[in-house]
Amino acid sequence: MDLGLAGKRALVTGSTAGIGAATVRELAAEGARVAVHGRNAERAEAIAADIRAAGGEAILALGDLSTRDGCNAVIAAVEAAFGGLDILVNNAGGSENPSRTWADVEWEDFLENFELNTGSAFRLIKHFLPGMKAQKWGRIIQFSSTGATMPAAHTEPSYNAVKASLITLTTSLSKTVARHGITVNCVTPGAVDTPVYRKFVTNLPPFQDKPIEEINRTLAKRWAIPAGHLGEPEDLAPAVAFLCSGQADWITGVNLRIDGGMSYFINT
Amino acid sequence: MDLQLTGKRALVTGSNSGIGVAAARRLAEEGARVIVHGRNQQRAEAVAADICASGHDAIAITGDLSTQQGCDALWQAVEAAMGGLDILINNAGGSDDATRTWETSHWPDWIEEFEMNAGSAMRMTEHALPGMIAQKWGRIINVSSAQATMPFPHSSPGYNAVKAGIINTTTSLARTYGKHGITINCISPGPVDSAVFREFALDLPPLRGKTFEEAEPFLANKWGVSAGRLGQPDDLAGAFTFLASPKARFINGVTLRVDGGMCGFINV
Repeated sequence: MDLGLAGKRALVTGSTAGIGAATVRELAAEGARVAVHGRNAERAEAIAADIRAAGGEAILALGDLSTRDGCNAVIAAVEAAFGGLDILVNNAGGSENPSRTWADVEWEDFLENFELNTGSAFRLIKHFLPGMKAQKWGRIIQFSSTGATMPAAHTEPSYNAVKASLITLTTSLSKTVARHGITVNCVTPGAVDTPVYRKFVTNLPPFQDKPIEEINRTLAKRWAIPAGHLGEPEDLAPAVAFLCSGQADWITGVNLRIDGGMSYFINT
Repeated sequence: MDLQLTGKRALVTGSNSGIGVAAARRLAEEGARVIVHGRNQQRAEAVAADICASGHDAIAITGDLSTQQGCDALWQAVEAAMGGLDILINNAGGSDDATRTWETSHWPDWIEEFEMNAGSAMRMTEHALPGMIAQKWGRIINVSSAQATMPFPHSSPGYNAVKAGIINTTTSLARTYGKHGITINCISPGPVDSAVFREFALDLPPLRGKTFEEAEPFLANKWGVSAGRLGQPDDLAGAFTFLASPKARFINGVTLRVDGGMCGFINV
C-alpha cells in the first residue's frame, strides 16, 4: 500500500533506540526525510548512518527535550536541515525512576515527568504547528502508555498520570487543527521489549540473572497478554507509519492501542 | 509498505456498495483473494468483475446474512471456493429504517437489527474461527458506528445498541482467541458518503432538495466532524487493510475510530 510518505519531513523524538528507532527507520523506508533525535550524538549517528546505508535520508537533531534550551537546539537542527516539518512523532519520554510508587513519589517527580513527557511534546507542537497550518498538511503523533489507561497498584504514579495527559492533549489539539489538514493521534503501547524495558525488568529482584526470554514469557503470562508474547518495536512502527500516511486522512483524535490485547476493557 | 497480504483469503460481507466495496478492492490490490458478498447478485458480480478487470482476484457470493440459513449457506460457498478464510470482515449490517426513534421503534425492530448486525457477524465468526485456530493465523474485523458511543437522540436506538454490543464482542473475542495468532478488531466509522447515506441524509427536512455537496458542510458542522467533511469509502479502506495485515499482529481487541474526529471524547 502506498503510504504517500515520499519526501515528507519527519522528526521522531527519542529515536536512538526501541520504538523510536524502529519508527524512524520505517518512515525512512517509506521515503520520508527523517530527523533522528536523541541526547547522545554517537547513538543517533549510528541510526542515521544505518538509514543512509539503506538509501534513506537522515539528519541528526540532538538535545534534552525536558528543557526549553534542549527543545530549541532540536528545533534549530530540524529547521536548518528541513525548513519545517510534515510529521512530528513525539515519542521521547519515560521516567527517570520507573520503580517509584505512591509510597515514595514526590510532587517534584510529577513535575519532572510532566516536563519530560508532555513538556517536550508541547514545545515541539507549538513550534512546528504554524508551518503545518500554512502548508495545510501535517501529522502529529503522541505516545501514551497502558500505565495511563490501566494503572497498576505498584507502577509509577506520576508517569501514569502524565501519560494520560497526552491522550487528552491529542483529542483536544485534533479538534483545533483538523480543518487545516492536520491530524493528531496517539498510540498506546503495551509491554514492548525495548532496551529501557530490559533495563527495568532485569533489575527487578525476582528476575536478576534470569535470561530475558524467560522473563518475557513469565511477564506475558502475568500481565495476561492475549497474544501470549510481548511486543517488538517493529510491531509499533508500521502503525505509526500508517497513521502518518495519506491513508489515514480521516483518522484524527484517536488513541490506538498496540498492546497485544492486554487492555482488558472495551475500547471506545 | 508491503502489507504481506498476497494470497490471503478474505471475505468482506456487505461489499457490493459503499465501505465494503472500498475494503474489498483495497485488499485485492494488496494481493488478497477476495470474496465480494451482498444480497444482490448482479451488484456483487459487478463489483467482483470490476476488481478482476484491474488484474486482481475476486469472486462474488450472494446471500442474506440476517438468518442462520443464509450464514450457513454463505460459509459453505466460501469453503467450496477457498477452503476457509484468513481474513473475515464483518461489514454487512445497517438498519431497514435508519430514521427509527424511541417513539417509533419497537422490540421486533431491535431483534431485526440485532440479527442483521450482530447475528451476521457472530455466525460468520463462529464459522471462520476453527480454521483460523488450526492454521494459527486469522484476522477478524467488525464494524461498529459512532452512534454506538455517542448515540444521537433521533437515530435508531436498536441499531445504536447493537453496534455497541459489537465493540464489546470485539474485545471479548480478542481476549479469548489472541493466543492462536488471531486478532479481532473493530472499526467505528463516522458518517460516510454512500448511496444509503445520501438517501437518509438528503431526506432530512433542512436538506431536502439540496445536493450532497451543498449538504456536506452543514452536516459536518452539525455533527461536529472536526475534519469539516464527511468520509468517503476510500477513507476507510486503508484502515481495514492495515488491520488485516501481519504488520498489525500486536493490535488486538481495539475499536479504531475512523470518523474525521467526530467523537469528541478521549479515546481509551
